[in-house]
Amino acid sequence: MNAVIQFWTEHTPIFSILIPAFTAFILVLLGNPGAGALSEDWRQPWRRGISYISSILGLTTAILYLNLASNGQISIYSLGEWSAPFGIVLVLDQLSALMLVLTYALAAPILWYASHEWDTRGRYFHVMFHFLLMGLCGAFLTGDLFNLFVFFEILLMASYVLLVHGQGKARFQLGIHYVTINLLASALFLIGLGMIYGSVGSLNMADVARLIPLLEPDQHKLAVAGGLLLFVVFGIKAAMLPVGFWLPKTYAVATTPVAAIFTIMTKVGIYAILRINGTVFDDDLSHSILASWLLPIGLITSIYGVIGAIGAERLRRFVGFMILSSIGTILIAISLFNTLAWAAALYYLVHSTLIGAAFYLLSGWITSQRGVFKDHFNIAPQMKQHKVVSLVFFLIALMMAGLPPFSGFLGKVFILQATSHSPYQLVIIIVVLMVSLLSIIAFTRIGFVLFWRATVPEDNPNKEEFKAYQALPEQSPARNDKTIYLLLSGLLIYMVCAGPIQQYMFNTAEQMQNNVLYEGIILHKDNLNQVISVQPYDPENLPETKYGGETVDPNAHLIPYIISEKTLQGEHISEYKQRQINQQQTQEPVHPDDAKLKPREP
Amino acid sequence: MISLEFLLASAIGLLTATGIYLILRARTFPVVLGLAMIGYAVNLFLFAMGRIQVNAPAVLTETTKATDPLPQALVLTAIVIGFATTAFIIQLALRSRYETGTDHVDSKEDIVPIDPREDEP
Repeated sequence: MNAVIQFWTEHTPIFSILIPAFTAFILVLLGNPGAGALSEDWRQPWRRGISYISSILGLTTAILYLNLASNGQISIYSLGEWSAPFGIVLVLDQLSALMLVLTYALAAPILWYASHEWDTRGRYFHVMFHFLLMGLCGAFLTGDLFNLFVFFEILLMASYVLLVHGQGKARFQLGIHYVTINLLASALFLIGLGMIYGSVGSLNMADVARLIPLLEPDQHKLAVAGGLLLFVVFGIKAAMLPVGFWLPKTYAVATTPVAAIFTIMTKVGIYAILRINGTVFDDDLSHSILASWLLPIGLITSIYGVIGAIGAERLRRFVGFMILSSIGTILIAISLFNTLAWAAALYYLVHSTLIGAAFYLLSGWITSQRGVFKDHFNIAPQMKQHKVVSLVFFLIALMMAGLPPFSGFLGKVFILQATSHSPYQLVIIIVVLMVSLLSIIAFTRIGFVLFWRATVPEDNPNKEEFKAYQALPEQSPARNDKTIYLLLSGLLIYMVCAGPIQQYMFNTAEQMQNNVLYEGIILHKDNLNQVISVQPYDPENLPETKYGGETVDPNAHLIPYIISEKTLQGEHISEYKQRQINQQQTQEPVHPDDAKLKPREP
Repeated sequence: MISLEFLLASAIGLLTATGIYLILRARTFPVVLGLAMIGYAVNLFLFAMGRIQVNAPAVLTETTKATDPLPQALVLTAIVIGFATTAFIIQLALRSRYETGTDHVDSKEDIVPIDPREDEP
C-alpha cells in the first residue's frame, strides 16, 4: 500500500494523461467491426465496460488532483527527469485541476449516455473519445508551449474523427471545413511558436514569462507578435468572433453526444488564452494590445451570438449560437485583467460548458420526439412527452439566459461586479444585460414554436400523419433524459455552493497571476541566485563534446541543481553494476601515479 | 546579391501565397494542396527560426560551428503531424466526394449554363 501511495505521489499529474491513453490503446487492440455489426458484437460490452471504468478512474484522479491543488500547491512532473526549462514539464495548479475535473465531469455522463446506442453508429467511438480526453488533459496540464501544440493536435485529430461519427453527407462536408480551419490554425500556431522561440530562445512557459521582460525592444516586439498569433489560434478554437463563424454549423451536424462533449473544446481555447496570453505574456505591451482587442471582440461575439440565435432555423444551430454568445461573455471578463474578473470568468466558464452540453442533449431528445420535423423550427404536432420536455427546456432557458437564481445569473453578476474599475464599465453592463434580454427573447421565440403553438395530433386513423405520429417514441431515447437531469442537478449544486466555489476561483485567479511563484517552483536557481536557464543560441559557443578536447566544464557545479539527488547517488544503476563498481573500488586502490603516461620500455 | 536569407524568405513567402490562393479555391483537391503548401512554408519558417547557418551541422562534431538543433526537432514533429493530418483530410475529401457526388467544398455544384468552348472562334 505504501509503495502504491509513493508511486502515486511521485508521478502525480501524469496519471490524468496516462489513464485515457492506455484505455484508448487497449480499446484499439480490441478491434472494431463495421458500424452495422457493432450492436451484435460480443466485445461491445467489454468496450463499454472499459470506457466506464476508465472514465470513473479519470474522474476520481481529477478530483484527487483538485483536492491536492486546492491548498495552493503546484505540483511539477519533469518528463524523463529533465528539469525545466531543458525538458518538458507537466504543471498541476488550481486552474489545470479545475479544468480536469470539468472535463471528466462532462465526459463521464456523456460517455454513459453514448454507450447505449450512439456508439454503435460508427467505428472506434470509444477509442477516439479517450484520445480526445487524453489530448484535453494534456493540454490542461502541460507547461511547455510546443507540448501544448502537440496535445492540441492529438485532441483535434480525435475530434475530426468524432465529428464525422455516424457519417452522412452533411458531416463529411462540414468535416472538411472543420479540418481545413483547424489545419490553418495549426500552421499559425507553429509560426507563432517559431517567432517566440526565435526571439526568446525557450519554449517553457515559466521561462518565457521570465525572459520576455528582459528582451531587447526589437526581439520583444517579435515575441509579442508571436504571442498575439497564438491568440488568434486560440481564438479560432474558442470561436471568438472574426474567426468563430465555423462553430454553430459544425456542432450542429455532429451527433448528439459528440456535440455535447465538444462544448469543452471551445473552453480549451479560453484556457489557453488565459494561460498563454494572460499570464505568460505578462508585460505591458502585450497586455495593452490584448486588452484593447479582447474587449470589443468579447462584446461583439456575445451580441452576434444572440442575434444569430434569434435568427436560427434549427435548434442545434440555436445552441451553437448561444455557446458563441457565452464565449463572448467570458472574453469580456478576461479582458478586464483583474483577479475578480478572472474568477468570474472561470465561474461562468464551468456553467456555460455544462449548460451547453445539457442543451445539446435536450435537442437530441426533442429531435427524437418530433419525428420528421426534426429540430427545425416549424409548427409540429405536440410531442408525446411535451410536459416534461417543456419543463426541462424552461429550466435550461432560465439557466442559459442568466436569470436568477441560477448559476448563469451568478456568473454574470460576478462579471458585472468586477467591472467597477474599468473605464468601459457602462458599455460592458449595457451589453451583458442586453445579451441576457435578447437571449430571453430568443428562448421565448423557440419555446413558442416548439411547445406553445404545437398542433393537436392527428386523430383520424386513416391518415398518414396519424400513423407517423403513433410511430414516434413514447419515451425519450434511453439515458438521454437521465443524463440531462444529472447535468442540471450538477449545475444546481454548482449554484448552491457558489460561495466556496467562487472563493476557489478567486484563489485560482490569484495563483495564475502570480508569475514569480511559478518561476520559483518550476525553474531552479544556482548558488549565485541566478535562474538556471537556456542562453540565446550562439553557433560559435560550442559546449564541450567528446570531440572537442578535454576542457573543464564551467557549468559542472550546476549539476546538483538540475539532476535530482537520488540520481546523483546512483539510484538508476542496477544492483549488479553497483556491486561491480564497489568491487573495483575496493580491489584497486587508486595510485595517483598510474594516471601518468610511463615512458615506453625499450 | 542573392543570399541564402533572401532565397529562404522568398521561398517561404511564395509558398504561403500559393497556399492561401489554393485554400480559397472551390474544389477540395486544391484546398488540400494549399494546406500542404502552407505546411511546407511553416516548416521552413520554423527551420529559419534557429537562424540560418551555412556549413554547420546540427550534430556536435569537431567543427567549430553548429546550428541550433531544437528547431530541427520541432520541424520534424511538425512534419509528422502535418503528414498525418494531410492524409486524413485527403481521405475525408474522397469520402465527401463519394457521398455528395461533387468535390465542391460546399457540395454546391453550379452547372455552367454555357459551354465555354462555344465562345471559341
